[in-house]
Amino acid sequence: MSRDTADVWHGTLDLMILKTLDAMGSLHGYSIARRIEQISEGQLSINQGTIYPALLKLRHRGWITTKWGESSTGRRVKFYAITPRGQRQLHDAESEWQRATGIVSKFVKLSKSVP
Amino acid sequence: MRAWLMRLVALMRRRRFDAELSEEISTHLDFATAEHIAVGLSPEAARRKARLAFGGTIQAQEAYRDREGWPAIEHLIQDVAYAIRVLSKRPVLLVTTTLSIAFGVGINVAAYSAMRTILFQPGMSADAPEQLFRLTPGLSYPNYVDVRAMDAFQGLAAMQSSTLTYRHGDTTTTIGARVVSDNFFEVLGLHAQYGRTFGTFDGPRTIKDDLAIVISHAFWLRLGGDQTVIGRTVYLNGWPYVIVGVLPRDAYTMVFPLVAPSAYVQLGSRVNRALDSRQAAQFDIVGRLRPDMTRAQTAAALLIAARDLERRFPDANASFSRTLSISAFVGLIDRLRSNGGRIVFTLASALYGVVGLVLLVACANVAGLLLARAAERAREVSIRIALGATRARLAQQFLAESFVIATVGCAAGALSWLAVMTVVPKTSFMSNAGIDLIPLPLSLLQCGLLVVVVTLACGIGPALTVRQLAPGLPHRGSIRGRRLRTWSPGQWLVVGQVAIAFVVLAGASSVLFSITRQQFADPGFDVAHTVSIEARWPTTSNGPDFFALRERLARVPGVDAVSSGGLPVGLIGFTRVHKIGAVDDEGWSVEVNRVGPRYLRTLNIQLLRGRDFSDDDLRGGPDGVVPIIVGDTLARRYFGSIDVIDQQLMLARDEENGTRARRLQIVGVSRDSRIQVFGGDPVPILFFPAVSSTFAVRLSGDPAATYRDLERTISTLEPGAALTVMTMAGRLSRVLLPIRIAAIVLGILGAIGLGLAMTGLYGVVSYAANRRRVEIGVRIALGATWAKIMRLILREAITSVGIGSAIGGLFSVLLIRAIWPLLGGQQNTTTPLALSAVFVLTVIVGLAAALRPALSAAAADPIVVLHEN
Repeated sequence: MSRDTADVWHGTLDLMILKTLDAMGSLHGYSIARRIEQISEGQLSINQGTIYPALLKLRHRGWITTKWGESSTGRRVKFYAITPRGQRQLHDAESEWQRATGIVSKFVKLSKSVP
Repeated sequence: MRAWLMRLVALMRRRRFDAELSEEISTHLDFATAEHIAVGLSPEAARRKARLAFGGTIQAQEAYRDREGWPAIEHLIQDVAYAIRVLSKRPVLLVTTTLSIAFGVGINVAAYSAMRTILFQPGMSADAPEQLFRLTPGLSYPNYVDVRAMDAFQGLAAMQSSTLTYRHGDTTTTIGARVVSDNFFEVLGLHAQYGRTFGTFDGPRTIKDDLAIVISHAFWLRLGGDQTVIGRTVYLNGWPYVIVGVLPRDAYTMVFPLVAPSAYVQLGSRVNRALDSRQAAQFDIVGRLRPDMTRAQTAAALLIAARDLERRFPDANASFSRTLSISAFVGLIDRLRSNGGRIVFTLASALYGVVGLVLLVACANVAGLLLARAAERAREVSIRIALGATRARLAQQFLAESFVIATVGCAAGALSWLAVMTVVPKTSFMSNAGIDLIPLPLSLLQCGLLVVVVTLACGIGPALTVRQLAPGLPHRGSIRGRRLRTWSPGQWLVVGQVAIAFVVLAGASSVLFSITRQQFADPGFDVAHTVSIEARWPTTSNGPDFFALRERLARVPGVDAVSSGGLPVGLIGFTRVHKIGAVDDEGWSVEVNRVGPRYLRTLNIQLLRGRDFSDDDLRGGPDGVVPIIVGDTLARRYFGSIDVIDQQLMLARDEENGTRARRLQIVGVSRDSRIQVFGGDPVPILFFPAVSSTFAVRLSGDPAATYRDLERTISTLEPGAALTVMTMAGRLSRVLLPIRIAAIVLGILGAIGLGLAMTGLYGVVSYAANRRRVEIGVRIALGATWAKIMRLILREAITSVGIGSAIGGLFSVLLIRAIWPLLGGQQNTTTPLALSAVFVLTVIVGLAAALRPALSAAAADPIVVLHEN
């Protein structure tokens, strides 16, 4: 848990995973990692291994479910899908994120011209 | 909550979850590799790139696991498993520590159940026991009938503890029974597990209650334990009875704590011959409060009844209303109010205190041993701290060890207590006494609590040592050459343990010494050629006439003489006598033995003056004066040098039985028996002429060959008699048996106590020696000899043992002085001998315990020791 807070991106990894699953439907671990990289247009390079503990945490909270199935290449893989509770959480987290980034960006835009 | 459940599931299916994760990761890597190959990389380079993007697989798995299961619990399980592995490699440590705990726990469980029964059990299995009250003192049957008719209670039941003869096949033995009134089970609200109790109807009634018995669960098991037992006929006191019901297993109607009778019969002339006597206050009375009356109102109503009975029967019921009172069956407070209650409470708490102390001492022992081990492992632990182990985790590992020890020890202790409680009721002694033991179950919660307490008591000390350790090299602090002369708490514990063990051993050995001495002494009567026959007549008859039976027995080949009476010694039947004219003084306490004509001659007891009893003495002398024979101790002590023949004594009036004071005239003086259970001077004894159903027979030949003839002779006269034939020597050892058992139990307890104390000593000495390793190394390097080092280490051990023994010896002397007279002995001449024997034993065993750690300390190589630091 201490690692979550140690890394800035970990706090947002949950949000990214939920958003990805919400947008793309059910996916297996590798494609979730790939989507996140693609959406960030290569600017964000995560250690792909870290998404698995994050997925487990989301499952414990009841935000996603898992199901074993077959990939397009016919391989047995575990699919992750967002639950209605997860969607509610995503909605809350999105507005929270908007609010937080809005406040931070106001500070960032502050000019040096103090009256 | 959901996460907790998932974690719990994961904890239990760890292997499957691990496999699934591995599969997921390898799939992930394969997908990535395939994608990289597709854009033109070589398979090796593709694989490498995929791995780089993934990051450390091990780290991912670890992070995943930390989330998935319950790391704390998993660590705990790991630690316990590790502790089991470590301990099983050190069987001596495991066995000593668990035995310590098992012993401490075993006697604690026993004491706990005894105390709970004595103090907190209502004493009766009953519905709403808080409405039950006991009438004290007891009532005679006519008084009971009259009080019951007053309707002061909703129900008033009478009960009496009794033994009945029980015939099965050719043999007749006795069983413990309760003679109860018809409404007994109804008043208690006690129901049968099988069949019925008295006074309850179930369909057409075929057997009248006064021909029926209800039996205990234990007796039912002894009869075979199946449904056919109900309806079976058994012969009690010579009468046929039909078993109509079996009580539940845990039903108890208190006689003594943890003890229940085997059978319940309805009171009547078959089982009690004194129902008509208004003076014989032989029944315990239990009453249930009327719902419309309070306790105070009931007590007032009872007082009116008592006054009425006192007025109508002044002879039998003098001061009846003054003494009659009611007391509750439940309620510690009620019981504490009475004098007896306070004494019982004090004794029980003292007992509990002592056994609690023993458990504490046992835990301290284990703690001492674990501390010694912790000291040995200090180096290992420091290195582990340096490698990154947290102290909490290390402390948890130490606690896990004591948890394993505590669990095994508690289980062993509780199981051995259960085993004792299962085996004891099956011994011939218990079944002859006709009593059933009722074990108290221990709840799982209590067991769990016990384990936790023991774990903490044993493990907290060793676990705390981890805190003091610095990473890297251990024990910088002790190198400073600080001489650890201050005594550790462990040493004081050893002193206490030695003292306790010493007291117990001293008690055991002084009893054993005095018994052993008596076995070689001349008992003062012939034990080799005399047998004693104890007969219990069925109540269907009065038993054969004494004179006729004596004549028949005398005609049996090999019989020299026949009289009535048991052993000339015992520890019961004391009464008080006065000299004539000295009514004010308290009189003397003497032992009274009721014997038949020619008793002294039959047992070959030397007659010093006067004459033996004759047949005429049974009828009493002129004017109701009873002729008696006294022992020479009584004659010398109370009459000095005057001739005691024809001197007269008064028997103190027995208030409880309401007998009138009788005048006694001395007609003979016998030599005293030399048997004295508690050593010291013989007890003053007085023989009173009476016949009883115990016969003394003197034989010329081999006693065993004549047994059958004697039995057959009596059986032809009275077929239903329960007979116990044994030599006087056998009877004598039976009288001494309880004391011998007590001595053996004390001895075993003392030996275990000493063993515990010595394990403690071993632990403390090794701990101290280990802490002083550096000091000893320096000493050896500077030229100290082997002998000097040995002396240095052993001195501490000897001091502990010496101080402990001194304290123990002091307490032993005080205790023996205080307790001996209570048990009937005056002074015990064997005490100094016993004390010195115990002292020598303690010192030798103490030295032996300290020898090994001392040897290993003295054998230390100074170069190695100093190099280590």
